[in-house]
Amino acid sequence: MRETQESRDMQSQIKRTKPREVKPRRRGITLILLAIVLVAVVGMVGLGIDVSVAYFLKARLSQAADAAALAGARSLSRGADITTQAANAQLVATNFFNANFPNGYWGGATSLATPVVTENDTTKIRYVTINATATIPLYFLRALGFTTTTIGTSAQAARRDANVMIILDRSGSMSSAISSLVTDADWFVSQFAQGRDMVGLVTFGGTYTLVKPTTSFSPGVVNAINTLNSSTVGGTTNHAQPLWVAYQALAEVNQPGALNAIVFFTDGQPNTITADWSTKLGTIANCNNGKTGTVWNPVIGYALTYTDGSTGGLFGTSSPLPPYQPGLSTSAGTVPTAYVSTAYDTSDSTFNAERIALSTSSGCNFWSGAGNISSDLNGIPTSDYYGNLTTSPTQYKAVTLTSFNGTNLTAAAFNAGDYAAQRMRSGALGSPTAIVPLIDTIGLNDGYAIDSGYMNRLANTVNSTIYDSTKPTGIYVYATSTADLQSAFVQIASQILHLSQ
Amino acid sequence: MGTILMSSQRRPGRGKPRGNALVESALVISLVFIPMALGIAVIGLNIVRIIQVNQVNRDTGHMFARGVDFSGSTNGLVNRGIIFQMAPALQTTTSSGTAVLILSSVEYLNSAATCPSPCNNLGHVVIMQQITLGNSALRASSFGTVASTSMDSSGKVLNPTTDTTVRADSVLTYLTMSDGDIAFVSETFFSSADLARSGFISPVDTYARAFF
Repeated sequence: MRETQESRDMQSQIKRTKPREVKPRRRGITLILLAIVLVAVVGMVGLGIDVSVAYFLKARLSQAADAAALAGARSLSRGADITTQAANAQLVATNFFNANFPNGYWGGATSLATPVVTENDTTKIRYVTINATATIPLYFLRALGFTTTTIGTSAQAARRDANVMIILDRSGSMSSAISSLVTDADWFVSQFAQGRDMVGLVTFGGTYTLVKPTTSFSPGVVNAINTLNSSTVGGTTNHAQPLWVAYQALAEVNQPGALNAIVFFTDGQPNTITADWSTKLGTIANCNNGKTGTVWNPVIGYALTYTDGSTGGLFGTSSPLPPYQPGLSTSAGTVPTAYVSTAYDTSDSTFNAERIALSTSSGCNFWSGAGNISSDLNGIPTSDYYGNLTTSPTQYKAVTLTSFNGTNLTAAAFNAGDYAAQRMRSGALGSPTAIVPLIDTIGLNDGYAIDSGYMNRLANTVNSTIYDSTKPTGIYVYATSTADLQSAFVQIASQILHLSQ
Repeated sequence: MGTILMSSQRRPGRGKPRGNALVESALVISLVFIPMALGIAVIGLNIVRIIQVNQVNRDTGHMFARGVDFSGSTNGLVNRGIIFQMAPALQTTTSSGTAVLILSSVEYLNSAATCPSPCNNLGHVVIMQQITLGNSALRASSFGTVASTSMDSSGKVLNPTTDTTVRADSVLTYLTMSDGDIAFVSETFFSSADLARSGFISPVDTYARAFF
């Protein structure tokens, strides 16, 4: 019995202690739960990190391709022919891609297909296309058997062909700055793509010379620029004429799909206009070119204002400018032959006939001295020879056309240049699609005054008093000295090349 | 038997296993999950910032390369403001805050054509323009800082061919360039000082660089 009681006690004790047998299991639950939760959490965190890294690298790869395409398109300007330009673009694009996403970046292995250069002759656009892939490592997902993943991207940049007319001031005031101008203008020309872009040149003083725009501009345009030196500069400052002649040259090419641009450089203010003065000579006996019926025959030439405010000119200067590089003036064609002094173009029979006619007119006071012109003319025409108004509702300077003097002639010259720029932007020429050029201007301070308000108006900058946001917005760069000229041309080239992309 | 009896005397301690679980859970949470959560948060924030900084850097550099004006002109100032409006998380204005953007255009001058006489920088990469947006005290460009006396108000270097202080040859470490090549470099730095918790978290600042 006793044993039985003890046995019962034991059994009872055993029963009571039974729950203790599950104790070890309870301790394990925390560990197991922790392990399970950890696996899940680490898996989710790992997935998040791997995906985030992949996303970041994808964005980075896309940026590298984007930069490569852009740099490649920019480099399409370099090279003597289209094949070389394409090769340059491919090389530069590859270099930029590798700079932004080098092989091994974040452990990835990149693969860049050879950049592709294509062109569309109709739209005058060339394209650089980049295709790249990268195999990147996965850090957490490799636990599930995914050790790498491949990301890919593509990018394309376009470059529009540019038709550029460069207008360079070679008036007498440029004598000290001409060598710097030549160097910087040469560099500027080199920025454009031979065989695709078109580059032409107008140089001006009181008159102009023209090299028509062509895709084979090197070395023609460069040679023409290089003829400028301290002994070949001279004359006055006639803005409206070279502006309009440059525009006519772009219109003759007639490529509205290309970026048409005019780069206008000067170191002074306009003081000259080229016009038909016949109606202003008519009242002076014997100082005319005769009449056809009741209409005075054209008397085309330029008049200028000297720095002291007096006037002079008409058909050259009292001391002819040095002979210019023969062959630069174009022969007769769609673009009018320059009406220049005989020192410039002896083949201009029209001009010579007029000059001779006047020279035999004994009543012209100016013939015995340029400064006598004020006694020959009784006013200023309402427009220059090219139809650019000397007075208009949007004129830059107030002018009295019925009085021929230095103040009015200068104001008329300003207004004609200003109006020429406005006419261009209104698309006066070009068929069937108007040619609306971008105009950039550079003003050089070499001791002569620059009118920044006028230069801003020519370029239609945001600082222009007649700024029109619906028209191409140009830039005006003021070079405080010849040392700043390079920077000015760099800025202009940068803008044109950017816009062409 | 004695042992069993002794064990039976511990019955009042039956709750101990539940206490163990609580303690273990507390330990696990405090030693594993909270640090992990904090780590995840910091990593996550840093990844977000890396992505943001790279994106802002890319967009700004692209615009700069396209000719968008970021100078001190009226338009340039407007454009500067737009940049930081794109990424308000950078908590930066055009002249202060926790981030800085440095835009530089560089050119390799390696011939007389690109570096006409007088030329002191023949064979060098030079900075042609440099514009700094944001808090310039945070970090300088990896390629050199142009002194204010060497550039005009729009950031353009006054004498790139003769001023030897504007050289940036370290660009060649990353980018292969030929004579006359131009590159637009954008650098963005973002300070993560706001995440710093002394003794616990030392966040890594974010820097992004792109060549266009």
